Amino acid sequence: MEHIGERLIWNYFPFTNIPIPGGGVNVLTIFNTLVVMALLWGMMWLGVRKLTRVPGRAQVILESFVGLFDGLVTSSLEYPTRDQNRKFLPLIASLFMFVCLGNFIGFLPTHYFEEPTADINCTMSLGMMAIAIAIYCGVKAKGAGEFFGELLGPMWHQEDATGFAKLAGKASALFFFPLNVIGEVAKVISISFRLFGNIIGGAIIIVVVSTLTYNTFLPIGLDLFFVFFVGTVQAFVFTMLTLTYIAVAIK
Amino acid sequence: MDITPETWNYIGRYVGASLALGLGGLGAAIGMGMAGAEANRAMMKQPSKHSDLLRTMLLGQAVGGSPSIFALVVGLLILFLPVNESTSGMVFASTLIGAGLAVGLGCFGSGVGCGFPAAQACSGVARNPKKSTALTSTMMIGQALAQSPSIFATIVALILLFLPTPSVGIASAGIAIAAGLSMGASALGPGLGSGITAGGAVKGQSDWPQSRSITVRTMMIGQAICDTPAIFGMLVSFIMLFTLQDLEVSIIGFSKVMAAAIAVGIGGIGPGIGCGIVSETSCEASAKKPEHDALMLRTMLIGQAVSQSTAIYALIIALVILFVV
Repeated sequence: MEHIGERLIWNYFPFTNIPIPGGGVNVLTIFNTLVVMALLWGMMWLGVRKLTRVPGRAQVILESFVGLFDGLVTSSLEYPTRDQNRKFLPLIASLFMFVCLGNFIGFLPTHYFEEPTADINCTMSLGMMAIAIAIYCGVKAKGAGEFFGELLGPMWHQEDATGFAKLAGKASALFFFPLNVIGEVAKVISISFRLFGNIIGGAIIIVVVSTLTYNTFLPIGLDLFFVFFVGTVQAFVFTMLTLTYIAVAIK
Repeated sequence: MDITPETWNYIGRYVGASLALGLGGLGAAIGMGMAGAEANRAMMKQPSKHSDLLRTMLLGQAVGGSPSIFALVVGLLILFLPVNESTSGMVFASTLIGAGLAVGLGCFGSGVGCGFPAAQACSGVARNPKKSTALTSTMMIGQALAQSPSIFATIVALILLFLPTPSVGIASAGIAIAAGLSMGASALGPGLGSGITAGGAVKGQSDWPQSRSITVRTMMIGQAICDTPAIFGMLVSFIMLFTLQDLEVSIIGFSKVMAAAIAVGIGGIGPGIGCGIVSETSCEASAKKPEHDALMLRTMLIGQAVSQSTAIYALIIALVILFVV
């Protein structure tokens, strides 16, 4: 069990001795990200290859999937027109598909297939992307002044206050502004560490229990629970949180 | 009195395993008891549905019992982990105690929390027996999410057991115990809170079964936000385990890490439970009035963000203690 937490890291570009800037890359994470992308691309290609009016099996699955996420995006964002809501559908649906398949890939029985989501670098970049998109949409929907004005706290914009009360409201921004900024940073930490912790936790528990029980029946059930059930649930939670952060930012 | 390394090893094994199993089993037992009690009450009202009720109760208790199984696995590892000459002694004993604290306290919260959805599912099945399959699946999703804090606690315990702690003399012992304490204590509140949320969702769904998908979505988001204090605790214990290579080799370093652990650990209990109370009512409300779902979700998120700010203060204090003071 000594290999728990070990990572295959390349410090040099392959076949050269030029160091990689930033201290190296996690090769398996990049490899598995590419594998997940290729699998998704292949599955989508197979599904939409022959679009018919009476759908085949793959087309039904894809159509109901898109319909499900269309409903979720529409009911969360509540833009007045269908096109504005539809703009977010590719982002949200592909985020779910990537995270979900990324969680499943550790199920394949070689150690080359590691969950890319069990690497904090991957989940942290997804989380930063989510918050950056939320801030961008918020600025676009409300304008930079109003969006960043909200960070100054609820007492900053008081039209009816005068004199000392107004001054106190402005001074309260000194207290609220750092807290709100830290709150935004905490969102990135919590969304990325939640996914990372759940996926790597499942992987480590499976390894430890498999070693303790000499790989008999138990790991299969654990795989079903941690990889498929927890993996799907956490992918959905990650996607819904991204969607909710965008929805909160634009309203 | 001089304590030999052998004696330290035994002390660590006994204390660590008893903490893991004692605290971890305590929570799951309370949760299972709640499910059993509610099943009994429901059976009193609907004796004809006894087989459905018995099945729901056993399923709820079986899924809700998995935190105690995590505690059992870690407890057995603590008892039988092989020790080599170079590591044995006080630091080894404190890694065992830290692992026991992490998994014991962490599984306590999730164990009690998993009881709430199981209990509500039993009473819901009695009121609405035709919907028992949908109720059971909501209950299991809720319980799986309420177990996230205990999974985090198990990771930290296993990292403590299998990876070397930073070697900084007496302060290493502090790092090991503090990493366990910060993870375990901060997972206690979130586990309970996520369970309370899942209970509210199952109750709402049993009264208004037609709005199931919206209730489940509100529950998942609410539970995810409830977990945040546990994530802060995990972050602090990772920082302690992987970045404190140049801590003061003295009682100052020891007390520094312990102080940070107490801040983020105890500070995470309240916000976890508070967020759970917020999202419990929010789940029931969005089950009752699914057309106003977006409004309730927004109110819930704001309420949870405010209730969570104390956990963020605790995290800041812990980071300041570790890196500034």
